[in-house]
Amino acid sequence: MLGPEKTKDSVESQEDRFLKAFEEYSDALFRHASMRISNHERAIDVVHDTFTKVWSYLKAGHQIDSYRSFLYKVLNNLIIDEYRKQKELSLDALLEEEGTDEGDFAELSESTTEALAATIDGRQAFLLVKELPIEYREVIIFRFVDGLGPKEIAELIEESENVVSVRIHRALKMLRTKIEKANERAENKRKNT
Amino acid sequence: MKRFSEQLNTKAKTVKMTAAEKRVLRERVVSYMEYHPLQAVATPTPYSSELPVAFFNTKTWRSLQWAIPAIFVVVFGLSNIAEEAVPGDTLYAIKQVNEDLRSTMVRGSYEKVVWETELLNRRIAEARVLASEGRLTEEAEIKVAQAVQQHTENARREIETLKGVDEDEATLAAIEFTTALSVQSTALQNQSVKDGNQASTDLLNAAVQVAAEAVGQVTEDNDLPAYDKLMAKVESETTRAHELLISINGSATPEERGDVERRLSDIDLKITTAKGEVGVDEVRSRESLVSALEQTHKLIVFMMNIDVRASMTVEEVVPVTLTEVERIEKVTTDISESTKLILLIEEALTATTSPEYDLATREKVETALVEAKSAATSAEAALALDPKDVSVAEGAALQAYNLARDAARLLDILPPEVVGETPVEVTPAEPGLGTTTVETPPESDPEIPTDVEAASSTEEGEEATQNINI
Repeated sequence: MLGPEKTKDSVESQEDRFLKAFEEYSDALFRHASMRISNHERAIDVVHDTFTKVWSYLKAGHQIDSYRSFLYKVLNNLIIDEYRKQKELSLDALLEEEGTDEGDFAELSESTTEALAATIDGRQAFLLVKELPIEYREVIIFRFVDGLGPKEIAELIEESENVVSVRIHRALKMLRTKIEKANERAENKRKNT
Repeated sequence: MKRFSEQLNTKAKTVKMTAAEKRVLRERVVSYMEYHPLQAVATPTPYSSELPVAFFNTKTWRSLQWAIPAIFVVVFGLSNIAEEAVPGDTLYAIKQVNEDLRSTMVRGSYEKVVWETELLNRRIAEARVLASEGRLTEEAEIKVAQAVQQHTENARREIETLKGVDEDEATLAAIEFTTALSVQSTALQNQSVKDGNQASTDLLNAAVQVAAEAVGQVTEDNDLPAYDKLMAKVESETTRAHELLISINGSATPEERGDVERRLSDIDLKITTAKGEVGVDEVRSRESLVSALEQTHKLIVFMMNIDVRASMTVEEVVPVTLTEVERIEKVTTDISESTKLILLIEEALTATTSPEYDLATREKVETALVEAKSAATSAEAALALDPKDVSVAEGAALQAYNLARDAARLLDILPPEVVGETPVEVTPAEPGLGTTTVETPPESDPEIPTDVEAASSTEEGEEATQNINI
């Protein structure tokens, strides 16, 4: 993914490719950042920092083969940093609590995940994503907003593909539960009125 | 799942930056790129520190990138302009700093002598510029004289040091210094005469004379340098002289260039002769080479100093050396001129019995006439020999010419073209170096009557100070 060898491209072509990547991915990166850290201004700053870090990497003489993956990787690291700064909750503690078990067959199966997703209203899910734990929010956004495959996500978050699949499955379940609860609450409210 | 994904995405698409926010973000990123430009060639290596690279990409460095060449231009420009400064100019201090810097960089005694010679030339040139501008005060002249003394002392010390190590080098260094002194001294004297202000550079002149003597003393008992060393030096110096001649193309007149070229070819001839002689008479060959080296140095000083060129002719620096063909040509001219004068005198003596020629005058003229005829015949005889005895012919022809001319003057029948003419004379070259010296001392002939003798002597005296420009 990342070319460790020194760049041989001309300065002009490097600049052009970098600016093209900005035009192509800045909106998607912002959307991702904004959905994960729920702060419009901070999200813009994180995207800015993502691009400047990537530029510095180029300036150090490295080459980037795939801007998309590299930009998401840097963005993801910056978002984790952002969480640590916010200290709303301990990420490490949370990860430990949730565990990284391999999951069961149903959780690992793509078809069961699809079937599960089919039962969820995406519009409702959008509003509830921010209520998911960080690592669930992360995989849901990568998978369904940014359209990355489990393998790509695994590389980005440095987890195994299985862990990613399990997380997606559990995140969807969690979402469905949240939606159901929300629907119940709404139903009860309507009955009461 | 597809529906879920589409629904989620539709909602997610509402999360976006405004156009203004995106524009500002882009500007921030682009300005970051501008302040951190990529290197044209990937520079960092796994072991290189980022720090120097970081510095070379800072704003400070980029402004310095323009400032550094500018500073260089100013510093070197000023240094160059300052080279033309004379005492009293604002930039003179810079010139002195330049010289001090160069002095510290000169290594080796020989090079030091060369540098002291250059400094001496510079000080005298400055004095000459000041004098020509009427700015040479007594105080300034004293300073220059002191500087001349100082540089001479430095050169003398270095020559002494060299003597202990390499006597040949010491002699060569001394030649370098004394020839410069000799050229400058002549130029100074000429300048004084030309300006009609003999006192203006008197002090300086005296200082130069003393300097020449001081250096002369150090080397007077020196043996001639070894042939190989001499030849190497002569070759490098003549090359330098030829290069200088090319470089002064713009500033010298065609006549000056022609004159210098003539001297250089004379020197080349002298070197060739010396090379041929080395097997026969090595001392004589080395003497010729020393003479060639001195003449080359003098030419170099002459060419390097425009002001020296302005105050003297190249003939004063290095008198021309005539080739054998030229010498024979001159002898022939002298003989034919003498014959013409003799005929004229004979006509005058026979055509008139006018009392304006008293007996004493007639006697003197007749005696001179006999001498002149005899000298002319000797000259012709010497030329008729095989091989031609050019030296004898030159002496006899010149004697014939001088006698005939003096006799004609006594009779007051000297043709107008001869009256103001300076007879062609071979300037005595370095005695003992193989160059023929032509001398015609009239007093050598006791038969010539006193008046004629006196007239001849006067002429000779004048002629001795005059040289021929060919």
